[in-house]
Amino acid sequence: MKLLEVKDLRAYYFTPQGPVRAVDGISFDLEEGQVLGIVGESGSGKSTLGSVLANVIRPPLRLVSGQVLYRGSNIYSMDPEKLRQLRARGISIIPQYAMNALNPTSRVRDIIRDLLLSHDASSDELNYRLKLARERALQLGLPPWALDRYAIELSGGMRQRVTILISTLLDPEVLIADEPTSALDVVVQRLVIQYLKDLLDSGAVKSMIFITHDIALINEVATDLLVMYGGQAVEYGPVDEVLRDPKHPYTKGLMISIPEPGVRIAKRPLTGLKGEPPSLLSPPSGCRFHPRCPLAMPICSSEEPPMVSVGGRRLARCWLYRGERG
Amino acid sequence: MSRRLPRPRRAAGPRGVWGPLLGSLVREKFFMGGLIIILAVALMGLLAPYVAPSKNFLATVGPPNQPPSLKYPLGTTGFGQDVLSQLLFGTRNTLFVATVAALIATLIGLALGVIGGFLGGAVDAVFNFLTNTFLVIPTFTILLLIATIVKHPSLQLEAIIIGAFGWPWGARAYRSFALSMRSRDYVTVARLNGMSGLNIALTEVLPQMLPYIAIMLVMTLNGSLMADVGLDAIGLGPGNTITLGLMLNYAWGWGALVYNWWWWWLPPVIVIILIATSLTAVAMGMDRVFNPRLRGT
Amino acid sequence: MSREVLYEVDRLTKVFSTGFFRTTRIYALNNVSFNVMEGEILSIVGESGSGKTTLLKVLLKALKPTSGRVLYRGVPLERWDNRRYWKEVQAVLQDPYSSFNPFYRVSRPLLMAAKTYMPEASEADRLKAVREALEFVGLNPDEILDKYPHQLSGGQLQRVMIARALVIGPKVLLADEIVSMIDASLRVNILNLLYKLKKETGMSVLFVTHDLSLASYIADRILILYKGEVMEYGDVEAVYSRPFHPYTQLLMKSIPLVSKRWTGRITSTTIEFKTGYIRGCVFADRCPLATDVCRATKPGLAQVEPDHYAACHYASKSAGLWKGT
Repeated sequence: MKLLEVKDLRAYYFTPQGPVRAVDGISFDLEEGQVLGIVGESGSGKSTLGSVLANVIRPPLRLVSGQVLYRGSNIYSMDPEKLRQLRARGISIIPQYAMNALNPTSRVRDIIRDLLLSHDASSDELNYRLKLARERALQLGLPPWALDRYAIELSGGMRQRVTILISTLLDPEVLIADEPTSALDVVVQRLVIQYLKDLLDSGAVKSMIFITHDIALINEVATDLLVMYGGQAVEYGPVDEVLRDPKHPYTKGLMISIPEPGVRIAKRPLTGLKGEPPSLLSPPSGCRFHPRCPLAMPICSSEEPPMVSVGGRRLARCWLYRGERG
Repeated sequence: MSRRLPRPRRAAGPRGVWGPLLGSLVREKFFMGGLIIILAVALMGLLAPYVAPSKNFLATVGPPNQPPSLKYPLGTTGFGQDVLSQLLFGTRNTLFVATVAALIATLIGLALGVIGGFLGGAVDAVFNFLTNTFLVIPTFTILLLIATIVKHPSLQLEAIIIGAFGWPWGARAYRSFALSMRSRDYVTVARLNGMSGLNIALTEVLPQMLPYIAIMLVMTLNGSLMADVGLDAIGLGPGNTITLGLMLNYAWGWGALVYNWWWWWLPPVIVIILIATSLTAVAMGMDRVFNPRLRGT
Repeated sequence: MSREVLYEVDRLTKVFSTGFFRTTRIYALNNVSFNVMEGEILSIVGESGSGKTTLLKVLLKALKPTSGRVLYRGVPLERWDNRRYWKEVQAVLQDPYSSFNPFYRVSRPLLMAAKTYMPEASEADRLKAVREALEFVGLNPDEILDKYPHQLSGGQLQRVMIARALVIGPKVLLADEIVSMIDASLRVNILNLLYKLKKETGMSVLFVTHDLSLASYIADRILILYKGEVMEYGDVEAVYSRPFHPYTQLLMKSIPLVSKRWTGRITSTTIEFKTGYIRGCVFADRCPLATDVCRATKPGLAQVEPDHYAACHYASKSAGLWKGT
């Protein structure tokens, strides 16, 4: 069952200087059991994509064209009541900078109670979920007293985990996680990833979109990988295949620029990408990666390459490949 | 080797940072609307000695309590003086007192706030104590006391008195701003570059504060205006000149409300409201430009 | 050729007193000892609350120690005149955008550094030094000097900050998480630059980071901090292939890798922030090997191999259990 179908999604920020094309033609499907990892750096538009997929966008960000279908219904043309019911149970988002998403003057358990009530929880469900919240809090490494404190009394790392807890409490079918571990210590990060995978394995959460800049982290979590650059998807495929054999020069560049523990410069010097992230306000002509691409050809600067098949379920947006359009 | 190395332009430049900011200000409706009104009123005051029908505004020029007519566009006072001339000169004098008082208050507040907040330690402790003490003093009561002792202070003295008690609010704000500036990274870098504390306060911290100072200045102007009008209206103003507040004092004291000689007290009230509202609009407009987060709400 | 010892840090302790009547004490650093040699890169690794930022502030002379001593070139820090000290020790900070005053062009801090530390040089010579420094870090002076900070990227701004330090020509560069706000694909370029600085000018670098993958790339030695105390310290090769301290092992196990996936699970232990002096080992409440001995007395930093030290009562036992990720 296709939980999510995203078709040629475009969303821009309309600023006084002109439109910033943060999401410029993204398409993919999400099935039950799938974890789509979206990897990108600054200027890729990945965080905007997260907000657009959950329909939590506000001006100057606007949907320009394309569709996001949840179980066949377009979430941008639903009536407000259906959209409200969708949140938390259908599509839930763990926002970036989650540690700032809590009302500092409320106790955590009251925030949870308010959330449950606003999503039409019966009193049975209320009790069930509150108990579930306490169990899951322990799984996330939170001390037992954390839920009884005011949000402002918790440390940043704890608040981040509380937000993750709350965003997953109603067992959403589609969980969008936007850099959920970015401010966390590395051990806590592993704990959170373990928690998310537990939710997936037990079926509490049916599918996940995991957005991050950390390609090693994606490896631990995702089944499929979508690489974003300059507002577009430049590579897509099963995660093992893409990481083992990247097709797009950007993906290749990413893979060889990340040091691993124990790798020393004297033995194995690494080179990062050259150049700077692209401007989404005035992106480069043709292929948006061409100014930084070591394999750029004349056509790359004049014509934008389409997303084409490069074998199996894999796609890449690069003039090096002449497959069928994907 | 004879080619001269191109010199980088001056390190600061109006176009780079201020350009877009000034552009936004001009487009901000509250700011421009308020600015136009306050400038018009100020112009009125500036031109008073040249356009007022009766240059000696305290002289009797006609029969008392005359309603507006062609000869006396705003009528006459209970003493037969020309209301229009009094309005023009009154605006001039009131604005003078308010402006001088605001400048005095801002300078004191800046000096104590920025230096104390930035240097910290004993200096800050002393300045902060001073600020808090002055804050706690009921300002208007003190002003009343001083005014009754001095009896009919001159315009200048009035400005000094108001300014001398109007600085604590600003000082607190500037101090907290300076405190937060102290831990900014570029201040650390400036120290590592060997810049002295005073140099840093003046060239790194102060420019960042300019938008904020501008807003505070406008609001202090408003406050000084109100203090001045308040003092004058209850009769504690200067004796041998006219201000907007004094006009109110005379008008109300000599029966204008009872006998409905509205032309005597209503014009100054309108001008006072215009000044206060336009200043508030200017401050609001600046705030919306300098704090872009507010623009969407 | 014998290399000079630049820093001798001996039992450095920094306690902050906060709270209502200043009764709450926070031990940001406790008994930290290590050396830094000329021409070496030392990575200081720690997570939030480890004390690494406090350590850097002490070394920058922005904070005074509560006890212990820090000697720079044999002279205690407090006896160094600031101007002379900062001619030899400079820093690059974490956030490139807040390191610059947005009101001024980026040339300003560069020229200011030249003016302070090259007082007898002519203006033309100072400008030349600035331009050469920018070229060394891989930037084109004509494209950079006139720009305002908001017109440059984070990576470019960090390079300008490194160029600023280069103009001064210090012996030591303190780098505080300098790449954590930069894209992952561009980080290694900045690290390569630091290595180039060490190789070509003999500069030492204290590289503070929370990222173990970055810490080993250019460093010669590594210092691992946890809750203000040193857990493990020594040669990078030794520490990474044979981590003796359970905390180091826990860190190594938790790093996501592209080359292989995590196996097994980690138990969720709650990590609480405690104030006041902690009796015994600071890691005891999370350590799988902890015993009453660990909770009662602090382990000192003991040598486990040449140029490799660990602060654990059961260091050799812990090493024996380590099987890698």
